Amino acid sequence: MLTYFLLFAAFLLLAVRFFKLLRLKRRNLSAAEIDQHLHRLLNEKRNQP
Amino acid sequence: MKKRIGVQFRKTRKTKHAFERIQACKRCHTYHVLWDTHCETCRRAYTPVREVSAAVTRRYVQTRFLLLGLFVCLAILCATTLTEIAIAIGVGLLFVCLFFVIQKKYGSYEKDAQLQTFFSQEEEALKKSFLYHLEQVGADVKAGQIKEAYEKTREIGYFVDSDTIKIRKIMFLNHFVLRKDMELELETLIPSTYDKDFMEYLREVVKVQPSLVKKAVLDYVRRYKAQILLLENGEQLIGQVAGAALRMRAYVEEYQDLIIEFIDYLPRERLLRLAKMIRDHRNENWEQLYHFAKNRVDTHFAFDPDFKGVL
Repeated sequence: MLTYFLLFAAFLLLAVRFFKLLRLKRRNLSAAEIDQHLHRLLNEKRNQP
Repeated sequence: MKKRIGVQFRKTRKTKHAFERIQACKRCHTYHVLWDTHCETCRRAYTPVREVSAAVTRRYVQTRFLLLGLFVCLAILCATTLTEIAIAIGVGLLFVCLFFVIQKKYGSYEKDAQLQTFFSQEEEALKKSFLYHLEQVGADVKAGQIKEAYEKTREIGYFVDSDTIKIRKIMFLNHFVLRKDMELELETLIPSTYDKDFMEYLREVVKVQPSLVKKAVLDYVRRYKAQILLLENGEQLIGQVAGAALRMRAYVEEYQDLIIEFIDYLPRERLLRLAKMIRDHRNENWEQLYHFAKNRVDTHFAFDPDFKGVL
């Protein structure tokens, strides 16, 4: 019984991983978006570093 | 007028995206955007930030794989019958294969997402590193090394978009003799408000690299026309900028008012260019421009053979 439970846990892990990666694929973040994100981080809340 | 010095700027690295310029020292946990290849504290070679982030992703994937392996191994160990052992081994192998297939197919998307998260997590460290670079700039200025100060500020400017950085760069650039062969910037230096030093810089840039005058610069000049006219030779400056706008038909159309207003300050060669453009685009609602250009040509260049028959 414990064997099946552990296999189910492994399956859950795999499923979570699959859906996480699928979500990231759908989001399809481009390098330009990453660049924009970085600029926003470095320039928000203040006018000078 | 202050004395300008002749310099040769260090070539800046060409990258498609700004984040590709960031390097990390894994030992000191600092970031670096200048040209050094080794950390000045620990002498260790810098690593591109993408690689550092990829290593974090790799570790995360390895942890997940180990966890999956652990569950499968435990399932095999907990099996009480031969059937259960066979099922555990079979299903375990299937899961491992699936893990690799999923990873191979979608792993690259995770790397990009992780890079974004990585920047969010490292925000403070990045800001601290930029602050350190700015302190270096301050030290260079104190030591009279304006060229180094400008080059460092230029690199920081790829990331920090603030008037402080822009005005510093302008002030440094105003110390140098500008030449055609230099890697100069103009659009990236436009401050959010009127700045006299920027106008001084613009005056020099227009002389050596008029191709740098683009829409943002023309908009700036149009917006602060009243203040520019208060400067010494302000009309000539706007005339030069308007002359630089004659490179493109779209600019001529959009900034007709500026060109018309300062047509008397256009240099001869620019006026000739304008006259030829008007001749080639007669049917494009440029009557007013034609009228003023013709008037200027007739008044000042009536006997100039280059202008003969153009308008």
